[in-house]
Amino acid sequence: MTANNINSGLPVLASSPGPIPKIALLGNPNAGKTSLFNLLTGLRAKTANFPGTTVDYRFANVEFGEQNTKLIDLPGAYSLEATSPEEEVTRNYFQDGTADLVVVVVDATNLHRNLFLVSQLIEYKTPIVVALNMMDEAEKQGIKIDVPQLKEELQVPVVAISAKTGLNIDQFKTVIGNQIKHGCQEAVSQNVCGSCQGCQYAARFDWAEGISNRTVDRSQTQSSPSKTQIAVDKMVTNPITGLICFSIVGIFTFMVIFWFASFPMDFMDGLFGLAGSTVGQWLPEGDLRSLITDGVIGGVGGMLIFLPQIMLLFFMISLLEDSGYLARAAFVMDRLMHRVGLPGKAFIPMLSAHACAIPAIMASRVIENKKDRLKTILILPLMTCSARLPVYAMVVAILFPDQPVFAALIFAAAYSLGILVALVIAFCLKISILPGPTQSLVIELPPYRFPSLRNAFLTSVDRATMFVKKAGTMILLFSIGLWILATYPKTSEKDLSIAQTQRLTQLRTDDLANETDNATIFLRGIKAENSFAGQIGKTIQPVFSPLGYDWRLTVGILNSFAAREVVVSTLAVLYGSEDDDEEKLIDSLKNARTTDGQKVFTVPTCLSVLVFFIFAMQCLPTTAVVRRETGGWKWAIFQLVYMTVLAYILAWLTFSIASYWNI
Amino acid sequence: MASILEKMTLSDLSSPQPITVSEIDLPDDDAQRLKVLGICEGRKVSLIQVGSPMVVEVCGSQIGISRRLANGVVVKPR
Repeated sequence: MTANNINSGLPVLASSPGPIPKIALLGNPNAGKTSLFNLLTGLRAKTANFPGTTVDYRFANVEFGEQNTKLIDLPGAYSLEATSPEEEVTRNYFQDGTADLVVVVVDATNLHRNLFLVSQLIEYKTPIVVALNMMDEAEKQGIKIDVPQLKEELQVPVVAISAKTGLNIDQFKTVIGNQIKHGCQEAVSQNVCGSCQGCQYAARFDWAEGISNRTVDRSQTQSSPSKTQIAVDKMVTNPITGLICFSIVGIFTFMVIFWFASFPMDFMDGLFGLAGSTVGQWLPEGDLRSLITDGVIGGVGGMLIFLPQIMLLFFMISLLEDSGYLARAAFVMDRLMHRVGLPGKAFIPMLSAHACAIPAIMASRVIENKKDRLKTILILPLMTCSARLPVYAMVVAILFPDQPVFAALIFAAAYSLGILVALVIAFCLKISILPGPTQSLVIELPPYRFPSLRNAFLTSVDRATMFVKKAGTMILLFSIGLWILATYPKTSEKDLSIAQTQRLTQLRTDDLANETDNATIFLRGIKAENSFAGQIGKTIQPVFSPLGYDWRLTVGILNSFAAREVVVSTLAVLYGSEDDDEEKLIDSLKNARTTDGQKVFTVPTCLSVLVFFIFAMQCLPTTAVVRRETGGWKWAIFQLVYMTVLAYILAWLTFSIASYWNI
Repeated sequence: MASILEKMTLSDLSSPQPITVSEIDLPDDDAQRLKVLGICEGRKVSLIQVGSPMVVEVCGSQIGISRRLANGVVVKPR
């Protein structure tokens, strides 16, 4: 009652804006839809999920002639039939009538194909505007289009634009603004396929061809692909030379990613180290300081360090896709990948997984078929990701100090082993729990075009944002969780045994004489041993003892199940070393002894650690992303279990064989 | 009057040539993926690269098709 009174006392907002009009962008893949969306929205675009699906879409608020609207970029589609989850979402979105206006992006250089989608759209009553895109390209090829005639034929507004050069974009905005302002005119629904006897597709293509013939003048068209283009195309799609080209492009992409990323990564590493020590100076010594510097700053840094690689990776993939090469690579790879039950397109996520499995799992959406996508997701974390590299580097430094050739061989073997076993597992999945044929390849090989740096940049920003949102919070939570396990319960000097106290006093005396800090390191080791993490490690150690691990290595392995990159710093604490000095760490690992005086890091143990890290699924954020992408815990847990069992068995075999041969 | 001749499919062709699609003999979802790209009965297409997978030109663009699918595309020369 009182609430009502208060409400009625308030002035009613004059321009109470109803719901913001929604405009959906729709179009064939390769029609330049993303370029148009990027041109209209730039960095303002956000990514969201269609409710109840794993299909993403990008959206942004855009003004068209003073009309504020919500512009939605629907996934690219050839038709409104649902042949993939993406097309299903697009169709549902359209049929629901959720959009107030649909902008169909049409490739002006290929009206015939693109008008097929238009033929399906105009059967609905949703208002349509046709954006005739790539006019610059059409002009270059000498294709003349009678736009007024096209408007007449389709009976919907048509604007000739170029998202690449910005041609007629203002006019396009005005047309959209007017449509929204004056209430969108319902499209005159046309019945394209007649009585739909025979093949409705053929009827629609005939209709599209008719319109294309009446509105497009190709008399001055230069034969569009040049001789060089045809020759290049022959080479990259040939079964033999195509594979060679693919290897070269793949290796080049890889080197660019790793080489370029190392600069920002080193910089960030330094920055977070500096941030930790600076903040550390401001805070009083104690738990809070340790939580902030080790838990929070360390955790955030540990996550952000992967961003440069992820961004570069998607930058390169976007360039390759825009240029038209990616489709050809999928074409060439298809025959090989099919043998193990994977589609040709699976190479894109498999390449990405070498940087990080999380964006790779997101990239596996390029695979249309659900089962093929699932198979790909299940094997992706077997690829050697960047988080494993510090562990490999540590093992290599123990085994082969100052022997770069052997070190390189171990790295190459680790990478190859990951890929090889992934393919074997894919084959096993195909003949066991995920049977049935892999979806056969049908792929458009788009014309070669100069890739857009702008699109590539915006894609990489978008992917980086998604990574931080989806994995970031989780990585932060886990690193705080690990900090708690490693810090509590606390050990003070009173709790030390008599022998330990004596040793501590001895070390302190030596430290004073030699200006060393061994007492602190010793104390830190004792604290780690008594912490929850240490206790758990000691309890579980018998499980890992067949692999040659002592309790400290076991703690390292357990910690690494949250995120494998933390293992190096964990081992530094447990084996009593200064964690920021790599050489000292390697030395103390080499000299580490078990309670009965045996060396811990023997050759068999080192190899067993290496093999375990190649195969184990030690990354909870990845498991969480798999759960989201596969729509439940079932497959995420299956993956965690099979990879752990695989890692355990192979590490045990490695240890046993190496011990037997007495390496 | 059933034809004595075997139906000729896209995968039977050994050299690039223009053809007309007369029938798509594939499971529904595979057939649909071909049809939305313009490979459907009565349409004119050109085979431009034989092999596995093969390349055809349809409605002004090139489409890569695996041999298994090409096996279900019944064609006649034109």
